[in-house]
Amino acid sequence: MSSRRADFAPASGGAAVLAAAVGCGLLTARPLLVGIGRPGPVLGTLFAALLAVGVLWPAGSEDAPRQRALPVLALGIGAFAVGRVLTAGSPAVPAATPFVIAINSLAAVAEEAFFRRLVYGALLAGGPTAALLGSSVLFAAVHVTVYGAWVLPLDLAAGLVLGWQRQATGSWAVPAVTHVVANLLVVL
Amino acid sequence: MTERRRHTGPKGVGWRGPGVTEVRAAAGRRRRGLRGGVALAGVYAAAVLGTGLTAGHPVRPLFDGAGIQTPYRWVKPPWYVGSANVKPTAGHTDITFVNGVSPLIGVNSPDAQVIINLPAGALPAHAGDNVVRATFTPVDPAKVAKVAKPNRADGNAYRVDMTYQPSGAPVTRTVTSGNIVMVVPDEAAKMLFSPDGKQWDELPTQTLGDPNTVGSAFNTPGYYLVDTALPPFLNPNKGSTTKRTVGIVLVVVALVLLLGYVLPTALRRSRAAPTPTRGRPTRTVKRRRR
Repeated sequence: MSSRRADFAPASGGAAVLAAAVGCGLLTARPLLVGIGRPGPVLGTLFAALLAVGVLWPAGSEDAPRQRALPVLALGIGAFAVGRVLTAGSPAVPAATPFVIAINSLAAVAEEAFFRRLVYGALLAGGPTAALLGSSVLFAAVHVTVYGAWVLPLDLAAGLVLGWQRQATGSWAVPAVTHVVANLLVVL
Repeated sequence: MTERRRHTGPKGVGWRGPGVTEVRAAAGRRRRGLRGGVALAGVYAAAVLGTGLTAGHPVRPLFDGAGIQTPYRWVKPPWYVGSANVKPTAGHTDITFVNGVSPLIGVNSPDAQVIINLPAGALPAHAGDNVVRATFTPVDPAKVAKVAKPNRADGNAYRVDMTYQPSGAPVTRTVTSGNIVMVVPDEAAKMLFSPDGKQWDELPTQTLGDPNTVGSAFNTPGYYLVDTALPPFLNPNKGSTTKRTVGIVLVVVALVLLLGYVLPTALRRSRAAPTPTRGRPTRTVKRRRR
């Protein structure tokens, strides 16, 4: 048991938790940040920085993949496709210009690199269940200031699906692809 | 994983590769794992449905682009546009008659959110005048007649004026129909017209290419507006202040620290703490030997 527990300890330790706290703080403060300048460049910079930190942060010990990537990817995309059908008539979104597609894809990949790699890795010290639940709760919490409290159950469930994909495949790439497709399903 | 392999391998002969039992166990684990994923996907679908039914407004399944890009220029921007808005201005274009006949021409507002196309000879000639000035003035839809419910105004209203120059006499009606095209921020329903902005009449409306661009016939200067059947995207944080956002930021940061530091530390300490002996030390020693 003790050797197994040691596997969960992130290599980067406390610094990763601090980085996670700063990233979550910035994501939550988005309504304040967009007041600084034009929302496009501000959010673009934020997501680019989040992606860089998420990808470049030294990885802790990864938990071994339990599932093949393809069925897990299909299941995740299927869930968000069903969600899209159920939310037909959702609020208007910007037209699907190349810029909108690019910024939404960047946001999706950056959030996955951050939540499913850095945050998940930082929380692995408490075990995989704590990492899954913790990263999902934080994923939902950072969206509250942008969309309101009503988004909590929805984004918590979305975070659980994406976190499960991370846990099942041992990689953040599968939830990243799923998140990109989920965002595009809304815009297109 | 490696520990499990050692246990399932045949005793005394070392590990030779996955046996039937192990392959079946791995397949079983995969099935169970996928079942978990299916269950979570179901939870997500239920959350989407539940939120849609209880939130009182449409929901986005998962999206992070709100407020990023809204090139539409608002007289009075909605909450999600905020400081990114560039206010539209009024502007005019002079249409010069050629040999006493108005030319085939397209004129538009400075923001290009309204375009009027006129065929040759559409504007009636007026004695002593050789030019028609087409003026576009964007108007806050709250300052003109309200749109019939359940629809709402989709973007700005525009006042279109046409006056002969130099007399300043108004053009009241075109001789032949032109067309008017309006670009709006949300999916359009109908184009509306009012001669004075006090009551709207629906115009036969055509969608042009995308749901945000609509057109109709143009015969008369006056007020033009497009409505939408989409409910307003209300500000979920209406009434909130910077203080509230800062408060949530602090809660989230505290949550990260709790999950990342406090919880694992507490778990480690609880595991490391010696088992209370209560006067039976021999039993504890035996357990540790095992």
